[in-house]
Amino acid sequence: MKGFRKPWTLDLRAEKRKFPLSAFGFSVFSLPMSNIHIARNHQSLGSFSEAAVREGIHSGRFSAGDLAWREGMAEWKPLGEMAPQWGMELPPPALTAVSINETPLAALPAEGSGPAWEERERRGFFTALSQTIGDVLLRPTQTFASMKQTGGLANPLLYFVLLSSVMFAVSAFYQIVMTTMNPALFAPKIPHAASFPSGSSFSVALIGSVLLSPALYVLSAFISSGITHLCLKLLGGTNRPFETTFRVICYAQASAAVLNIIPLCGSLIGVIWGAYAIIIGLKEAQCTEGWRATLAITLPGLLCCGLLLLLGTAAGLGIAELSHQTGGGLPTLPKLP
Amino acid sequence: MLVPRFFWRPLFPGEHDPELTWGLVIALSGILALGWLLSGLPTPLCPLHALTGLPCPTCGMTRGLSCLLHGNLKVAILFNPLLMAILIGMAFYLLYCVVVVSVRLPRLRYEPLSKITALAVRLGVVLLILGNWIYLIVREW
Repeated sequence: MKGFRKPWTLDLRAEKRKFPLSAFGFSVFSLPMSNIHIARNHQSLGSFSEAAVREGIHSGRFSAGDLAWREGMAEWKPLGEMAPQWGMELPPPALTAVSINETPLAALPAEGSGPAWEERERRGFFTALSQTIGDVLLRPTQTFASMKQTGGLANPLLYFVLLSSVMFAVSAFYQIVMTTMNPALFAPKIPHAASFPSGSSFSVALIGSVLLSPALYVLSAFISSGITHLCLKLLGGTNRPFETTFRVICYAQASAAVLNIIPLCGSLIGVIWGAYAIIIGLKEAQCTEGWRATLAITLPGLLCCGLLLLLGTAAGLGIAELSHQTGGGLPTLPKLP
Repeated sequence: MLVPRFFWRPLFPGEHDPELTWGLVIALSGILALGWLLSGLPTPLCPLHALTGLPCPTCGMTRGLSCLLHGNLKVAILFNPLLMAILIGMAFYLLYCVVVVSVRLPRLRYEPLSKITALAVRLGVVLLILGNWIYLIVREW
């Protein structure tokens, strides 16, 4: 379409040429000069003023291989290609970068290589799994301090979904056994409890929810990490991207879910231990204070008066209601002795 | 700079695509929530309201969402104005995600906020939540 200019291809220099200094001594078109955005190894290093980039190039903080973008460009290009066009000279490359607007990356600890789960091809699946669980639960400070802050969402998500789903199945098994053995004591307290069919259709509904649980855990991982990251951001405690928070939440929650293997009180211990691991993890990985991390994970609960409790109650009631609605029409499990 | 500066920028090669991720999360969560409501499954009761008679800051969300589904926007907003505004905002965000991901457009971003702006945003969020909560309590009485 002729004459149509996409907003992201606005050429600031051309616009400024169109609107030169007015007779009153100031620019009519007074858009501020845009910052330069730098990325390296699939990670944004932040946005920097032209002076900061020039200084970074001279001090060796930025290298020619870093990707650069500023308003007016249609795509990212190597800094080595763009710097001469912006009137900058490129001395030999270097490795670190400092953002003018956020915590200097150079001041943050260097990225580690853990946890063991991300080296499972080398270590073996079960060795890596058990080592990660042990490290996160027993040595959270060292584990999260040496955790990779980036590297994709897939590995932590797989760990979270795998462990959480298996542990949900274990909890469901305990629930079925206990409900079958003593429905009066362990069956969910719902209005239809009087007609509760002694654990049979309830078990079917529970098994159905176990099969659905991986999909729900994928959603849960993103929602809980998103809310936590948002709260941490509001408290001024984010020095790393969302990916870092996501990794902490996934590894901490999934490892703590293993405690569900303890009958009756395992889930409660898991919640407390998981919260502890998340606080330590956020403190170490986001390089923030403990109080900010603590407040970030308790704030949603405080606001929603126990959001997790509500969701748990809702899920329990939902399963019970489903079992009541499907009672009699579905195959039943054999009653345990 | 006191006012946040927004701009459109393309994703760099290998960058995680937040619009794709959050668009999917919002869409799937919405489908789940709709399924839950339409299937007539029980909705949770607010423990704070049950214990003290006072609504919590998120009270009225289920009723509001139900009204929204029936096209009654005015009543939905009265149930919990802040949450309804967030839900409507999420719907617009989802629409934006669908467009930019499907057409592969550059993404809307903002320059890092100055300390004063960041503080103002935080205070604004706290005041919004408190104001909404006070409204819910007053309405209940």
